[in-house]
Amino acid sequence: MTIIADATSLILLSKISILEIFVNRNEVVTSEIVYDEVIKGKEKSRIDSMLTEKLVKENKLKVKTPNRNTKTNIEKLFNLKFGELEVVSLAHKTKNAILSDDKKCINAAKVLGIGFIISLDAVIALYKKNAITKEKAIECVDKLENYGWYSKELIKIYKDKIK
Amino acid sequence: MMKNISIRLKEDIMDEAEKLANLEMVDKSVIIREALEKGFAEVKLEIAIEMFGKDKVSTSEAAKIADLSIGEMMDELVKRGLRPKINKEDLEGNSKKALKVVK
Repeated sequence: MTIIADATSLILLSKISILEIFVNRNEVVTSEIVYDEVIKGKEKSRIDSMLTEKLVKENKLKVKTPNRNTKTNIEKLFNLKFGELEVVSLAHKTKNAILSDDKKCINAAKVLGIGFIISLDAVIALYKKNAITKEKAIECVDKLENYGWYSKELIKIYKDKIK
Repeated sequence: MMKNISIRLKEDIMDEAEKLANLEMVDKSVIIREALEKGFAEVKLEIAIEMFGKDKVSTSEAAKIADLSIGEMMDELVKRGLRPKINKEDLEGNSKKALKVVK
């Protein structure tokens, strides 16, 4: 199954140093706009930008363009724009899943019946599949907690999943 | 290309601009233009943050408004204690789903 990743998740997985492991084990695709959104940070030497660029150059992370009509329809339905719009459009009417940490993107995926996961799910799944150790999984969730992208309630739920 | 615009400024701002212009040995319009450009970046960021906080825009829309990369936008949001309102109800059954999806 292909995983369509948006910028928020590429950045979060990069921050916790598991983006490379994740794309090495999975078929991960992103869209052109998402790629540009992440790469924009290269001007300020952001690690997430440089890593994403490297993974695309190595063809480990693929960049695709969604169908224009699909994009137009989804934009009208959900008022989605830019990267999130392209990610939902790429996953629409396929069996692919979305990896996103953006609420608007998740809401659209839910309504359209597209499977989605967040970065915390990716950490837990990598741990359960023995791709990362328990210590690494704990470290990842701790880093995400410190960063502050998730509520304390969500962090607690995912910490409990590692125990 | 630059365009002309007339604006009314408070006297104290004009005085400050004049002082800085003398120090820098440039025209006071250069100082005012620099101040406007810097202030504009802050205004854009404030609007982006406000709209994200009210769930009116996604992360990438907020980044576009602020003219930042998504990573920078995320950093600015969390610095202010803002985050997407993803809740546990959104994620029901996600662990099983993730195990199916992720290798």
